[in-house]
Amino acid sequence: MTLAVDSLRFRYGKGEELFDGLTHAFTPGAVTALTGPSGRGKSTLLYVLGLLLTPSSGSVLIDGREASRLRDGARSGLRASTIGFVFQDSELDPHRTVIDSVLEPALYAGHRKRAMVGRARELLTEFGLEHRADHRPGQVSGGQAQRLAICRALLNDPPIVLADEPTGNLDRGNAELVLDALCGAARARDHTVVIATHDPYVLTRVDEVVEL
Amino acid sequence: MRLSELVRESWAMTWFSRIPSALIMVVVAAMCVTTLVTVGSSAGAVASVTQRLEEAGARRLVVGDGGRQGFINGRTLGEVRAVSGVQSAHALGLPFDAVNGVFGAGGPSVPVWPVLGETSGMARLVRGRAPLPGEAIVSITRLNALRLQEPAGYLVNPDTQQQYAIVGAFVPEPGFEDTSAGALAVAPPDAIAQELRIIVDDITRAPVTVKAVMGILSPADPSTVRVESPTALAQTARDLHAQLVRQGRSLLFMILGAGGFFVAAVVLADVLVRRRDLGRRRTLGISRLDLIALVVLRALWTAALGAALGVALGWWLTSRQGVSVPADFTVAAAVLGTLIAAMASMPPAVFAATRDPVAVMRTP
Repeated sequence: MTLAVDSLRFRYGKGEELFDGLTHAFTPGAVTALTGPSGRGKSTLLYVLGLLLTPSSGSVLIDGREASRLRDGARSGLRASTIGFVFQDSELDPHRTVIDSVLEPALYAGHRKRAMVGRARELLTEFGLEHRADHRPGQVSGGQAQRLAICRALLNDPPIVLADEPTGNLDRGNAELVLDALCGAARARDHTVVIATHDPYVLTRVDEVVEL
Repeated sequence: MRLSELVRESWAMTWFSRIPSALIMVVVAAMCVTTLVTVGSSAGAVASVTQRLEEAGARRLVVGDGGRQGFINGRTLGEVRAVSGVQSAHALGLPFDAVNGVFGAGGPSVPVWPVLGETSGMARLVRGRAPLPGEAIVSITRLNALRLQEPAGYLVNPDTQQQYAIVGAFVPEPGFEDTSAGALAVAPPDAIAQELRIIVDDITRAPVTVKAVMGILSPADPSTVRVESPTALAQTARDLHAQLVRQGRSLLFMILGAGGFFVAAVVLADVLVRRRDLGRRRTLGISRLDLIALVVLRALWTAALGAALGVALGWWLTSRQGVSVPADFTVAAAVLGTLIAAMASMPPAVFAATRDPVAVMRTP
């Protein structure tokens, strides 16, 4: 599945216009970094790609089809089944166990939770977190939490994974682990991975860079 | 989302946010208790008034022939019985004192009402058989007064020496309670009665029935006719009923309105506190509709539990006060309380679902 933007522009209210008619096709199986100075819209572009923001003009194309102007229900459906999201702060539900947090996107994609438990455990094992399955997010480290967020993003096996400063709050060791996980997902599963970052170290690990 | 997962997730949400859930439960319970204790008591009073008005005694219409004009006879009785709205009609003569024939004139006496036609409908036989003309039945409570073990023997009118064989004992039907003081004797078919007692089907139709009956009786001199009609009582009942219903309705709206407002406030506060949780769900792909359903269902479960609690507490309180709240009202209060809470949670749920998840997620 391909992800591309065509003549993309975005403006918050009456604010400055962003992206300057950006046209770009993201390569499946590659990790692309969105970078640039603060205020140039790295995270905003990520949310536009994630169909959470509608561009002022231009379009987001998923598999060649305009997706950013679909109705909310259709966009939510696409987000649930096609797009995985990794937040800067992992955003795990503090009330749930780790495995329940990982399973969350399955519910929104219309899967039965029970049917996806095996898949969630596989991912936890793959990322070395199987022993944390029944812990609460407060009982795991920051690096582990971020890797759990990657597990959650990969649960529905989405062809597109978007990550917003995924290493922003991590030390170098944990950042490496998280980047390994994201790069591994892109290469092993042929996913399109897009990372918004200002971290020069991340730029050394990715396949492509889009400078905003 | 699958419905089963939506239900399960809303249950989980109820459990995770215990304080708002408990608050919703308390508000709905308070709503139901207040409804039962106030409006429920009014409904109980309305039901009680309605029931008492529906009793035969309250539906009794009496026409008295004070001038002995003779318009209450076998013919007019038959015609009155045929009037629609008349449940039963009985004609009685003026009561006279009679004594137990075995003891003679010095024996114990009881009042005897001559009855035109059969006694069924005014007296329920508990022993013996229905009397024929010239026979009598004695109130079960007066057998001892006449020194009778069983309804047997005969009564004598000391003035006329007329004898009435005792063939049974009775309990008076509603509207004829005064006859429990004595006996009923069946008069000859051509006798004239002085009082006509009519039980109408529906108290609200009493005025129409009075008109129809007076048309049949058509007394030559209306000034000597005595009419006791439940018309005034019916009007009072209607007024009282309407007033109670009006009061109850206003009170109910106030209680439900206040309860709904509190529930909405609690749910709004909850969705504001949980904005990151809801924003995360939106980002991960939950649709607006599912998010609204999630918030509303969460309120629905807690409201249902609160309603059950409130109804139980309300029943206990009202029963302690000796007030009987109708069961259908109780169920309606619980259902209404739950639905109001669900409806009140709708605007905050829509607010949560339409918030920009990006703004929420990017705000620390």
